[in-house]
Amino acid sequence: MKRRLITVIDVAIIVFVVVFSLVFSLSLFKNQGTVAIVSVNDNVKYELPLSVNTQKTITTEYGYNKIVVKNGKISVLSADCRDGICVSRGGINKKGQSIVCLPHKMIIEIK
Amino acid sequence: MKNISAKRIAIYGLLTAVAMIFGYVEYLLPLSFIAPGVKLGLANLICLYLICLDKNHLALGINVVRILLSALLFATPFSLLFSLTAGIFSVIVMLFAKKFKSLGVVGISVVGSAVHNFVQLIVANFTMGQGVWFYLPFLLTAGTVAGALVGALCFVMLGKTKNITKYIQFN
Repeated sequence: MKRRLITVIDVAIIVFVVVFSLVFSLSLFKNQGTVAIVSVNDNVKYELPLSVNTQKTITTEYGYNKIVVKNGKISVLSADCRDGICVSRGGINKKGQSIVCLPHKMIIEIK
Repeated sequence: MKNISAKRIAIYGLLTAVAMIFGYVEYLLPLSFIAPGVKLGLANLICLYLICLDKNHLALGINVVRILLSALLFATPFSLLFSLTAGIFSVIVMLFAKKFKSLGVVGISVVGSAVHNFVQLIVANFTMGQGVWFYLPFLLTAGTVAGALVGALCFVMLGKTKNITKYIQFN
């Protein structure tokens, strides 16, 4: 079968794929946060990049919060606060989202 | 398995060997600095070549054998899962793409490379989590460039071997 090297449709496909990946990356970076700021009593304790899997335990006079960064999301794994709202909040990774633990005065915010 | 001649076995073995050598060459080219898993896709050249020669079953068969043998030599069972699913799907989609007469060799190659990247990311999504989609734009862009290169190479190869392919008994 005779085939041409490159046709107009081929160029259209290439342009489509490149534009698609550009749009995809733009939508990815617009909402995706890059760093999580963990603060207690308005004092910044940690700035955790979401790209690195880590685990931190924050112990204060109020109690402890075990924070975990995994697969680009940050969540509170366990805590000894009375309501456990921070744990039930689950993982967050979008800009502006936050996890608040009122009893421990701890805030995790995605920037 | 009827009527399998020594000539055919030799041709199949030769094609598989060449595909594996290409696979080894791209294994030596470190392109992973762009994104993990980026490679030239040279091994796909043989597959694309056979597709363009209308040896559809052979293209799929040689690709599967090549992936299994390469995995035995260089890779782990884990990476076999990636390369095998992506390899099979990309060949099937390229065979479909071939039906469109308005597509050139480069077009078929680019479509195959895009499908390859998508399938690998879908598999990675199940094994490593959703974070892998972050690599999609990089993989797609690099894959398009590599796919176009391989397509152009295949076109050159088709031209150079034009006079001998009709004497070779493929199937």
